[in-house]
Amino acid sequence: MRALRRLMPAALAALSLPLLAGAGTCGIIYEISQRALVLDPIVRLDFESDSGGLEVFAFDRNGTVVSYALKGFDASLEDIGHALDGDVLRAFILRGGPAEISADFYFEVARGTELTLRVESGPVTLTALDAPVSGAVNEGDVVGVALTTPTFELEVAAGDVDLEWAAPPVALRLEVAAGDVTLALPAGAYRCALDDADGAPQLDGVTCDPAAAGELAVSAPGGHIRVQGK
Amino acid sequence: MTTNRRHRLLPLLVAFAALPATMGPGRCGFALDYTETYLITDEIDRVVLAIDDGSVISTSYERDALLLKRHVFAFEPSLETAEHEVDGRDLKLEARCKYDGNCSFDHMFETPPAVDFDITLDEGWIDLGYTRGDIVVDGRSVWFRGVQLGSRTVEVALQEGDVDVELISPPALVDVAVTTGDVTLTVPAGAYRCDFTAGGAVRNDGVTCDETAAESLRITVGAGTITVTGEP
Repeated sequence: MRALRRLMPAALAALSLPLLAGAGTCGIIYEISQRALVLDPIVRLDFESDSGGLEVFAFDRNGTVVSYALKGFDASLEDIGHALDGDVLRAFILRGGPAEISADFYFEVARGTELTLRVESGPVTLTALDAPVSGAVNEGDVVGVALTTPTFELEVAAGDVDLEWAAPPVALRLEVAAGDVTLALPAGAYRCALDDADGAPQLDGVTCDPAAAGELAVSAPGGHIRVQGK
Repeated sequence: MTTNRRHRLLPLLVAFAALPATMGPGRCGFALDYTETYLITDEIDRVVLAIDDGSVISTSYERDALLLKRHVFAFEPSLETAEHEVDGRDLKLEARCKYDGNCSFDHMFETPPAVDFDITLDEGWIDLGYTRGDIVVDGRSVWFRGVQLGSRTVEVALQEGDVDVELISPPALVDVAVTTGDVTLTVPAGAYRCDFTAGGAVRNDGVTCDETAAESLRITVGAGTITVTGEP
């Protein structure tokens, strides 16, 4: 009986271990990277992420590189991977539990590949994309370099947006709830609809003209807008 | 230790000693699972692969160097070799396993546009895309797919497996021989010298067979079908 009493605290500690560790943290822990090559020509990349960043690089190439670094607990991973649906390539990481699980994706795509994205939490970097981009980022900074996309539509709940265009966009529409927006565009006139926290977007080298061909519609009620013409 | 106890332990000892045999040969010891990535900056005209089991996937486009990535899984006692070398203008790769089924070697390439491939593979699959180089494949149980190839010659000989080849420019020669499997070939529409022989159905849509044509399509299938399409 005395021995049982002595064992009781140890037994209780053992029973409470899962609680101490946190839900979804039992089992396999991932710390892996994958790189796949998709040969089929694709017109669009549909990306969906519950956790982790996104990087897309477009250049003159054939085939698509899908690469990701995954880390976290298997118990909270619902699914990760990529799949072809006709000429659309879907790539995704879906969370299925409360514990830490995230994947940073990197793509190399052929020029002319469209992109739709849903990023829950993580940075987004887009380089040299030249086809329409649309989607939403819940939390994460967005950087675009050497873009020539004709249309770009993005909603960002929280995060700074810093985009640089190498050719004038036909329609650039941003809704950034909390974060600053910095744009570098070819100098010239745009149809502007700019709205930021202090109602005074900074424009340098860019003029607003209702008759201009290109549309610049940016709403950043929780931050500042700065547009630089180059 | 009493004799009785020794008798009782004997079956256990025998079972323990037999464990390696039940696992199969070459499976004791470490399991190797690693990936190597190389940028080959030498001028390469041809990739020569000799692999037991595994896969090959490759894309080609204008670039200056060849990217090679190889993933090896093998039980350490079974791994015979997994090597590569540049020999003149050939990139030669060899991956061998001492025991069937104990290793796999998966290869990924990104090459300049006109690199030839000469592949010998025992079991696995091959996906080649976009190259303008010539292709030779010799396989036992292999699935072969060619995507938007600009190759002048494609020669595939398989004992078992399907072949699906898409050529976007007229080839000088397509020569496919499969003992068991289906062959699907897509070429630009036009006139070719045709030699199609199959145990199953032969379908031709859009290819004009002309004995005087310069380009030749030769497909031989033992048990299986042939589908040839000429794309306008």
